[in-house]
Amino acid sequence: MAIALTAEGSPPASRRSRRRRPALPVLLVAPAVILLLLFTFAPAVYAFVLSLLKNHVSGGLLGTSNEQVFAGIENYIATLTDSEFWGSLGRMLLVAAVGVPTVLILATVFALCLDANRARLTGFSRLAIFLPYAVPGVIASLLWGFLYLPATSPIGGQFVDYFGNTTIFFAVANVAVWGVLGFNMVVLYTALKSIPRELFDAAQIDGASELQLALRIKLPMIAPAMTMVALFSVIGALQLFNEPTTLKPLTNAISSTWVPLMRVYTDSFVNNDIYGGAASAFTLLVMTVGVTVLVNVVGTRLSNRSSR
Amino acid sequence: MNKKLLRALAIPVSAVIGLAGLTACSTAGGDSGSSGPVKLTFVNWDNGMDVVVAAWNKANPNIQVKLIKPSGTGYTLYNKLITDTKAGTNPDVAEIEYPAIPLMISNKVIVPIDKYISSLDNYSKNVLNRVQFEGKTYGVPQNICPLVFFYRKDIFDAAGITKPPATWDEFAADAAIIHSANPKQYISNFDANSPEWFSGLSEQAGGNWWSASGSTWSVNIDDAATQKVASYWQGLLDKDLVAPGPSWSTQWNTDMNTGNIVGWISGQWAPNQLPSIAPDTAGKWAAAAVPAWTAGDKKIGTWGGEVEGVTANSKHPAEAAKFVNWMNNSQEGLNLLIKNVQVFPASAKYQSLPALSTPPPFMSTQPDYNTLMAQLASNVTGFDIWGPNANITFNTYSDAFGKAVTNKTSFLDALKTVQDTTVADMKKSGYTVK
Amino acid sequence: MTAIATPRTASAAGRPTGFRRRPNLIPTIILLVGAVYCQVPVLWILIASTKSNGELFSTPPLVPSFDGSFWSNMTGILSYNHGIWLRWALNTVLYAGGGGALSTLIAASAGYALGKYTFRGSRFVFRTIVAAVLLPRSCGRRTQYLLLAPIGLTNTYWSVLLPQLVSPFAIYLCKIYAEASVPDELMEAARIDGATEWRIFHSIGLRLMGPALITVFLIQFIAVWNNFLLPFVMLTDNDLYPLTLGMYGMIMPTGGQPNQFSLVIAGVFLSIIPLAAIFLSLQRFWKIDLISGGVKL
Repeated sequence: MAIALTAEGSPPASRRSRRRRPALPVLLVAPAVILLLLFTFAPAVYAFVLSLLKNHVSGGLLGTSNEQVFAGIENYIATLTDSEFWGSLGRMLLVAAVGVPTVLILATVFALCLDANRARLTGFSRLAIFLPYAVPGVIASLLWGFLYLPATSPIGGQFVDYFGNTTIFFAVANVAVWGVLGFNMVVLYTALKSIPRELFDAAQIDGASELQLALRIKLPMIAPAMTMVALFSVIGALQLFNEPTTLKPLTNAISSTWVPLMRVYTDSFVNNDIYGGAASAFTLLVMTVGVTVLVNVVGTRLSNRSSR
Repeated sequence: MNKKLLRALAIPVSAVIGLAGLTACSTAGGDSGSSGPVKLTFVNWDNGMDVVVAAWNKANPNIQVKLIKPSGTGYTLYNKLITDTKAGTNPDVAEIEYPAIPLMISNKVIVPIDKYISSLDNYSKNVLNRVQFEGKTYGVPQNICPLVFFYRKDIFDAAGITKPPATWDEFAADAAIIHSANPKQYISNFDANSPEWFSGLSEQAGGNWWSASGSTWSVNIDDAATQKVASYWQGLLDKDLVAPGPSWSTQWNTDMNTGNIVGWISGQWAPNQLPSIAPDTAGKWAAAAVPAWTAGDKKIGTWGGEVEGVTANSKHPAEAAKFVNWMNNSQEGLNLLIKNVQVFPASAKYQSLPALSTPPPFMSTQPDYNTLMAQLASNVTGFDIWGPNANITFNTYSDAFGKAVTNKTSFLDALKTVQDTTVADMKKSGYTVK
Repeated sequence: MTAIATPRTASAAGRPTGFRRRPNLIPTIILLVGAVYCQVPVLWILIASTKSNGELFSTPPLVPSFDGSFWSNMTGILSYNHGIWLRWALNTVLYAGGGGALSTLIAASAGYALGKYTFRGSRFVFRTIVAAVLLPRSCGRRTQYLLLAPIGLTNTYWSVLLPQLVSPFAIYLCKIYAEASVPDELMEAARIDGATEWRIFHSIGLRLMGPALITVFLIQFIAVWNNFLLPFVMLTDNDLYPLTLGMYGMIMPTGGQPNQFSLVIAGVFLSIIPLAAIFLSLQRFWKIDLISGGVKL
């Protein structure tokens, strides 16, 4: 059941003859707005404020006084000149470079297979692939940790070092991919199902094979949905935290600043540097928003081009 | 549909409001009703502490203690305490390990308790050094955890090693014997995830990471003694004589259980943990002194050990101090601690309590385990003082050495990174560093 | 693409019937491979939960053990630390179920208001909400904690519930659905009949949005269930933990508290079951087309 949605939802009320503006909508929106202000925007502003301060100890060996002083952009400079910060960004991008295309490709392939003519056992497969979505990221990481370690691995951990220098990226990406694959597959499958069947009939009469059907008709028609899958995968990749944190105690290959969010966490919660942590977090925030806007713009352009 | 939906939603919603209402009333710090008992909150992560607290509560109806088991332990907990001290929501008493005490003091988390404690004469100067700063006492020392060498006696015997290595040279030789007899076996692992394992070994070698004169700090994490330790272990790792993975991972657990790792340099508390690490090997381990740099040198470092600190947020410091003193400096308290938490008392006065005459269950084949502990405890040495940002030092150790192990790069460089990062952070905060 | 299907080859379901009826093997096999990949960890944990701690590390990974360890693991985890696992499970239901329900209500109200009315500032609010969808949630956890600490709200149920009560994505979905499924004519007719706006909202609007609300609730439920960092930051008291936090604590090595792998594995296994069951039973309510369709906006 497709819901064709365009931006035509503006209610006619405003075009009607003059009527009292109802108070209800404002009341209905109020809780959301208040909560957003309190828990999304206020913390962001506070983080920005903190990022401009630092701790200063004075007096005595152990500091009889401990005060917050203005630090200007010191924390930002420290973050941006720290090679570990860029290293963590690079590592996260590597994981994303492995994970995002994998999710996109696999989800698309599976969705197409589900939609293929005369495919069998689709109900079972769909459920089996979707189920990992129900497993929290931390639990999934614990599970895969067991699967990677030679001691308990049923997938050849004795022969392959899943925690090696290069394999670690695949290992981490795999856990994330495993968790979201099913959900994205279902999103794309639903988009496929909303394509009018008449389009296929014509092509099949012309003798198109299933594969050609998939590539030439189905893919372009679900391009917007694919963009959305890509977008959310990228956003998710930028927030990579649970998986490397949970895998960290199992191996030397993951440091406490392996990805940017771990660095924010380490600064704030392990090193007791909430100011440096706030600067890193704010820098990340700006970068994330920039990237997602970029992906959105690029994706929309691409899908516009293909649906022409 | 609408009604059912709303009804279905109503139940969890009211549950939310109900439960939240119940717990919103819980606050830290106690009541100060003159008619009711004083209520204290106590955060501690040790297994078995609930029995100790229950015993106190039974005998002291006027001072009731609530035990809270924290989510994060160690520095995760300490950082929370630091944040919360400004908000005033810290518990009355908190478990704080020796290396973290300076951090807690400089962040105003804990307060001196001299005026509440009668006497600490029964503690050695060495032990008191860990809790006294600038003339004030910040906690009652609970335990002492010397480093101990645990090894699989059966496997050593089978390899022809009749006594445990007495020097580090012998340790290296034994490592080679074991590994060449069975390439899957290692005498130990190099633990890049446990900074206090490394600091304990450095203490033994004579390292002195921090010292202070007046208000000036001196930081020497990469001093000659520590470099000696780092190079030694790098040598073992390069020759593939020790396993590279961190302790407490599933891999290491398996290796310990199946006999692929046959030794563990750990703290006095290890027998507490071994039952779930390597349950199949109970009774096969023996404990001995850690090998020395020169034969006959008995100096040993520590890994762990703690006080219970009274926090600045506590509204009843006198009662809190009373509780802490009972727990850590009374026969009754220590008997309970030994029996349930398996500590080894910091004060010599309690080191021959009858409760210690039985070894921990895992070391049942070594009846004089605690005699060995007493011996080691009398030779404990340590740094002059722990730095005000030991948390940063520890975290950098894990990152730097972990990286060095994975990439096979120089441990000395990693050590220098630890030194430089520590000093930089201290200077940034405003400490005077020589 | 203008060819029209000729009646000769169109079946009632719109599919050509002139083709062979052999099952299409390639997609079937690809899907089965995917299913195996997704189920290997689940299978592993089922097998692992039949083993004791010692057996876990000394027997082959895919061979279950039949010596009764399964039951001792189950009873072990349920009785661990005075039955704290059940407490954790209850907490999780509270956070995910209660929190999910509340946030769905809030999203439904806001979505309905933004979708069916124009009022001063409504466009600005909506644009802000869409922008907020892009904000990474994890960056602000630390400062959320710092904001709640002075008012003593940290380490309480509210500290985990409140920050998750508003989900910009959920509001966005509700707005789209409200626009699409609540016809203005119906609202107008009700107004003419003298119904108040509130009446229209809860007896017409909410009812028509029902299917979407279930989807939104399920998405929120999963999001809260999955959220690890927020409770990790906010909570110190063991009794308030959700399942993920509790079991993470059990497996992470800490001084004095040994790992208890076989119990954790049993706990993880137990926690997957109810969630899987909820999924299976609520399958027909999933309206994922809501999400994929929303892209066109």
